[in-house]
Amino acid sequence: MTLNRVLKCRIEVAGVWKMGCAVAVVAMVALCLPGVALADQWITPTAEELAMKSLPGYPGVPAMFLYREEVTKDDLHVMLHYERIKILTEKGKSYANVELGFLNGATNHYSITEENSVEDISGRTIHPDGTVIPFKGKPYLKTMEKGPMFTYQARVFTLPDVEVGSIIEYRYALRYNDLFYESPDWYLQGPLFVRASHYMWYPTTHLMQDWEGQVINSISWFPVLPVGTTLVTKQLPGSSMSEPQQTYEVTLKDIPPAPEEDFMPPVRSFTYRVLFSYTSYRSAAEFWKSEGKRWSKKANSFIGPDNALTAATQTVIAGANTPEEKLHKIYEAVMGLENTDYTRDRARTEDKAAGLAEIRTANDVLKHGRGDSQELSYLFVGMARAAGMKAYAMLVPNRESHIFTPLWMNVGRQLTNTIAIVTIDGKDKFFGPGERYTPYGQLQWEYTMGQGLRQTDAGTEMAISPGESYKDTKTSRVANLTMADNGIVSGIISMAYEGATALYWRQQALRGDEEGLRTELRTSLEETLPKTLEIKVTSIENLKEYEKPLVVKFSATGSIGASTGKRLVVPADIFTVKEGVAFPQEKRDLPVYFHYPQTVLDAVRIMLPPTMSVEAIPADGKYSMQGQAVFSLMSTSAPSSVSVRRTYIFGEVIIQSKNFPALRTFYSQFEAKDQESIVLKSGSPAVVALKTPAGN
Amino acid sequence: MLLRARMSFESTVWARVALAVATATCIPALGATSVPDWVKTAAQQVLPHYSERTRAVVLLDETIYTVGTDGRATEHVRKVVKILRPQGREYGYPFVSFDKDSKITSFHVWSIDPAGHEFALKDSEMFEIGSGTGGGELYSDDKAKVADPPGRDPGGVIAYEYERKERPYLAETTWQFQGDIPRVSQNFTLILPVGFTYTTTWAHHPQEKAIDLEHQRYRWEQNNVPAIDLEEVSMSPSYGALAARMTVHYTVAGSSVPQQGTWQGIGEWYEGLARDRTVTTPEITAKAAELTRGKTDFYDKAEAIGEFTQKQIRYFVIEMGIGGLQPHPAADIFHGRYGDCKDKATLLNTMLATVGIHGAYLMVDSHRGLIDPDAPSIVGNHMVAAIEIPKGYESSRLRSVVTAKTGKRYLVFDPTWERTPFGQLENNLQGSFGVLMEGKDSQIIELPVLDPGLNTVRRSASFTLQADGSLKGSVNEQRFGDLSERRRWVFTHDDEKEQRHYMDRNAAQDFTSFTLSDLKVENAESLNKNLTTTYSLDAAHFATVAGSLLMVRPRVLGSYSLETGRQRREVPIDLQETMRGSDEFDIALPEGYVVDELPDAVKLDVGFASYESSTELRGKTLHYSRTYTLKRVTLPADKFSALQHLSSVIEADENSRAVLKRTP
Repeated sequence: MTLNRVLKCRIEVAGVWKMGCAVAVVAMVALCLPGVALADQWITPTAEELAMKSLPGYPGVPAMFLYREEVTKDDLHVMLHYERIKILTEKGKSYANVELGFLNGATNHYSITEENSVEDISGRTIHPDGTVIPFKGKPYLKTMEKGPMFTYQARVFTLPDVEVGSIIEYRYALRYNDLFYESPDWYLQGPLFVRASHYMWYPTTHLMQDWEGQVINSISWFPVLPVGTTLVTKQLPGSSMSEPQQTYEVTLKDIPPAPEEDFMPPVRSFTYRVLFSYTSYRSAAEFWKSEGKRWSKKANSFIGPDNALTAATQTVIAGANTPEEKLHKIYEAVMGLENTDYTRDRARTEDKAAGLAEIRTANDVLKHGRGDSQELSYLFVGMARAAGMKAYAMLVPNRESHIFTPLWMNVGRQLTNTIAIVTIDGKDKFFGPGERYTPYGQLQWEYTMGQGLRQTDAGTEMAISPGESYKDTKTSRVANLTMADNGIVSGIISMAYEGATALYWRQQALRGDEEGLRTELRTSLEETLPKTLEIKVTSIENLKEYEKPLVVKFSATGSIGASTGKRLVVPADIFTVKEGVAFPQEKRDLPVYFHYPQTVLDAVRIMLPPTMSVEAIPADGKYSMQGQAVFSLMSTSAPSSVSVRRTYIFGEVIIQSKNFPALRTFYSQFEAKDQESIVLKSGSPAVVALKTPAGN
Repeated sequence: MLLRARMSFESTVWARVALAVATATCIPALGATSVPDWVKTAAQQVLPHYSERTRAVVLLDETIYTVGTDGRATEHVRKVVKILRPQGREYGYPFVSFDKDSKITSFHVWSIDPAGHEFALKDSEMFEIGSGTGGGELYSDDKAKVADPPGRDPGGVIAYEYERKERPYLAETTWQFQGDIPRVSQNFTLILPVGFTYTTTWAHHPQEKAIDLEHQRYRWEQNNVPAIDLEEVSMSPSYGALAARMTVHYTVAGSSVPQQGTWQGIGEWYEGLARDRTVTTPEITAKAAELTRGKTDFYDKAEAIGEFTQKQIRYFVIEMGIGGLQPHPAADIFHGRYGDCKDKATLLNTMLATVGIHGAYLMVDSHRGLIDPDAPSIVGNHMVAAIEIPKGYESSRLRSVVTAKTGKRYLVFDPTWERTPFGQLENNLQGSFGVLMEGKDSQIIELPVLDPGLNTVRRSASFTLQADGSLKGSVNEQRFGDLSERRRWVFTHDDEKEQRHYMDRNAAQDFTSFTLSDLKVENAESLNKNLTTTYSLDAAHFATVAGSLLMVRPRVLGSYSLETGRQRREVPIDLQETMRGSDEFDIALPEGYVVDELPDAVKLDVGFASYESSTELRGKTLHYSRTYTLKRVTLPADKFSALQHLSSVIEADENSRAVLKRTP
């Protein structure tokens, strides 16, 4: 199942509106239009609005929007905003502090510089008794960041005398350069409940062209709207002074706050919204076909392979006989290069000082010995092609934060990462050469199970990257401990990481050095073990051998149990003593989202001193969840030792909310089992010595 | 930052302002086209041996601080940093702050990459950033010039040089010569006009005399200064409480800035700055009268006005130039009902004055130990109020009381801290120092450490344990003081879902599978009353079955666990707060089980803290009782082993089990 299916029900069909004929290519033409007179009429609050103290159905919320309005008048180059907010709690007062950012100085493809401003700010506070306190202050202009090519600024102000129960409202106009027409993005759902809102767009009536000279004759939109709400389009008649005017309008009522839960799928990009674009395409299919072609052409011009890359590839694959062998060597060569996404981008001056030209092709990446994730992916594809294989690049979303939808006609904000596909023995294999230390033939979890855009022999097409199984990510935690007469244990803890967890640690190492990695590994393990156990990293094996498990060994010493008068109570699995409750809440609205399927295997063996014996061990326990997950904890004892083996396998990424009770039950069962203990008994006074920490 | 002071440390971005000094007594021309010789010389130094944890090192830090005849200073800085580890790249961002009253007149950046290639950045490669908006700050004109030079890799060297015209209204500067990375060579040169004099104060470092370079030029040197490494130090003081610094005060002839390097001078200077800000208006006077109507008692009147400024004046900051130090007029604060810490203190003092109560400013710092009583300076980031207590007035409600050298007593109150009851003081200020701004009587004053009984948590609960290990019962929890702060916030600010989430997360610390119901919270807004939380708890798998045994944790819920860490302790210990916690739990045992073994009672007193617990069988009920008292907020490093012992005792007790055995 792709992640898209989870959300499909909420997305309406995206639209495209063909614009009427117009007369001028205006992207380069300055227009002189009269300013917009901002409506200065405030909405008179009703008695009910003034008196309200809470929002039914949402107890304790800090504030709510009584009304929001955004009107974009493209030919006037202005977006008019109106916000009315009811303050319901102390926390809600923070909504009286307003910061309105805007960018200046950025230059577009036509070398036109953006000139934006926030103007005509007005506002007022209304107390519950109807007293009106107008905002008379002057908004401050604050520079957030200023570079040689841009300035990001903000107008900031605060509304006066705000108290719980107040209604605050303010209006402002965002004006932009006369040389720009800007399609709006309407984000209709946020952290606050919205009682009513109104969004309207008057697109330009002028003809435009995009940066490649194509005529922009359509408007597309990507709507995610509540059931029963529609985007209303109208055609206003023209006059002798003006062209006919197309308008777009959405009116909403009672929009709940955007959902927010632990283990939430990346649905933030699917809150209610309408995202418009001026476009030269008539349908989403046409958009993806054409934009795909454009991307693929540009990618291929980078990938090549040119003669130099072909020659370099032949050196790399020397001695390899089969395509698989060749590809392994190529992959290994690319993996050996520095990935600057984990280290540092180099300035052009640095390359120049090192006698290196600007990176323009895959072969340049090879010559530099480094590249970013996309450049390294392209290099891998280029070398595979140079070795005579069919190889393709594929754009994918990062599913940690985004789910792709073809209905939204936007490449750059959806498909942010690049993977590679190579056909071997007639089958497509997927690779992640752009993420250093990803094992051959695997993908970093963020790029798995994602719909994206891939190159094909005929151009491009939509495709889905493969998922991974619980077998691909495996963590083994083994503790071999020996207990002394006084109950103190010492020994070796060995951690073996494969798949996503190994990749995580290897990439952490890339961002720092071994000393830093040792510290992180130690603190990470300390967070799971009893805090009375002191550990040190003694070795890190296979850090760079990404096809092998990453093995980290620790020395451990300290106490691990609680002493009673004649017993020592030891946690059955020392690796889970600090595990919290994953799902304390009984109610769940959204599906539960895990990053990747995985297996975790624990084995703890404690050699006992002759003075101690096992009095009780946990009963064996096995739990499962509808074939999606299994857990077992088995313990055995011998006269001189006790051992516990724990297996946790979770094979799914998404659990639908209707199955949440089963998930919670499964978790509760094994979390309780994890807290069980081994009871050791001794008549020896030596064990009683362990009680010393108990003071007195 | 509430009160603006240009003093900070390498570990923070704003701190990368090098307040160091130059060896030369004349300022060379600033050239930017190639790497200067002073950078190359610094880069070629042979470094001492540093630990593997050292991320970067300051090779050179030079400041020439030149005071003009008009009293306005110009700071000229050269700084060279070498990156030793990938994690040290963050130290390779040159950063120079400025605002509307100070001006950067030149800024040049160079670097040498590990391969020896040299780079000089052009002006067009520099950036300017504004301050963020976190912490309630709305507007500040604090800005900085920054750069991202090439070669920021291990082995790379980053250098920069700038000149900044300083703010006109200050006659002191602080040289921060210790931070979180080692510093090899540092010096600070002061150049004064004829007729000017100076004094220095030193914090966390012995006083040192300047090298007299003649002609009103003075230099101090600090070489091979070790880093303060707090990276893995639990319960550590702040960097500012440990890092060495020197503050220079210079006397400007005829100036109205008589700081003189004394607390009195600083107090007088600040009083002058704030004097006209505490002028009342008819509206302010009327409001104060309304709040105190019918009240005759000093405390009652002060409390009513104090709580008004605490709860009705919204906190946030508008700072421009001197506005980082000078409060807004009381009239503006009252009208807009908002302001920062010094604004809130200003309105409080203004309103108090209208009802005949005197209040003074008290400058403090939220990092305990940063203000050094032996080092007068304006270093401090927060302002509270010191309310003068009438002579002879006594009340048990007066808790945060200080006595000045004049014999006057003051009730210290922070109207910015929204959840501290009037009469008390938040824990991060307790035991620290503050500057009492009382004109000629201005002085440094030590803030009190409050009695543990004013910061309490008291849990009581009755449960019934089932043979399957499940536990059912009701819980009552009473909190007061800072220990109630978080929960009061949740139950006055968060919505019901967030409140539920908070309680569930709390319970999840002690139970794996549970249901909370009948939640009731009282007195969340009444800071001078116990915050009471009651609820019913149903926890499955609480007791674990092991064969015929049932293992029960008598300490059912709540923890006083201390995160002491294991590193060798070299710096003092910050315990954060004094407190008292007490728990009383009853667990009715299931039929068919008898107690086989109970944990031993614990009683430990280490002077700065004590811990007692006992588990006993009362009929068929297990009764657990404990009391934990923390009496100090800081400890010297040599108390670390005692603290670790205390920690292990608490840990052992919290994890101890009663063993029940099934009867045949």
